Amino acid sequence: MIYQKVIFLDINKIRKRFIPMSETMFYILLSLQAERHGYGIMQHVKELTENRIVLGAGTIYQSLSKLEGDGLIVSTKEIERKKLYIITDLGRQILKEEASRIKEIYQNAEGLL
Amino acid sequence: MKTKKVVWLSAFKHVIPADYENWLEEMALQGWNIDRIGQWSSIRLVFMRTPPKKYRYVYDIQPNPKKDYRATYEQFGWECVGIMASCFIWRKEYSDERPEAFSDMQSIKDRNKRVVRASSVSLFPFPFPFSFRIYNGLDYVCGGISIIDYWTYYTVCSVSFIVRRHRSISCVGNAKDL
Repeated sequence: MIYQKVIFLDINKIRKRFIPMSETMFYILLSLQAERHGYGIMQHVKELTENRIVLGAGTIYQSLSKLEGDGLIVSTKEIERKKLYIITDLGRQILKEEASRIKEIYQNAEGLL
Repeated sequence: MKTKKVVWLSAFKHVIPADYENWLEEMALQGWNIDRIGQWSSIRLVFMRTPPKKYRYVYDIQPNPKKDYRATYEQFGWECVGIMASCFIWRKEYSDERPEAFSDMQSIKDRNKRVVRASSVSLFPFPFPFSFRIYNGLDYVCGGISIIDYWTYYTVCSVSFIVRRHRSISCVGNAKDL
């Protein structure tokens, strides 16, 4: 209960920190809707973007630490020193807010094409 | 033919991380390779003669790496050459496309910021207490060079070192890109 309260108080801070989100962060968070480890995230993002985004090891490690530190993702288990992560409720909320921001941009840009 | 080459103060000649990476890569292309990097490699680095290799080197600072840090890099096919201070040197052999450990601008900047922070901590507090005490009246002279000169020199060098790194925070490739 207390933990949730702390997060609730901090959500504006977290919004400020993560929205707008970099493409890398967005895709990492999106991939973590299913349980994955670092390399799995890279493969999934590569597939989703048809080889356009190939995440590097350093980038993934840094982003995962950042996301975990702010409670957007959580590590579930460890297999041979590889950690598996999954998105939290807070992470899902931030992801949704970011998605609706992107949708707005998309709608406003549609007339250009 | 020489099979061993010793380079002194390499980390101080190639101050900017990207420069250090590129320099190691060039050495590997010329057939000079490091077996291992240790705690003192920033001061004395030993290269061995090998056939030329195409390596991508990556310089990453992690003062408190988590358990999965090494595992993440290794899973991506990087080989850990060694650690000096809190700095990890990674390498990966490649043929056509040059691999990157930091795939976007933000993470390169974050890495560079960590490097600046680490060097500010390790170099800064050191000269001050000494120079302070000496300026307060102890004019100790050794071999014709005043210790004041030495510490002033140290301070100037370390400040310029940090400033050069600081300027290169947003530098992705070579220092020439600035």
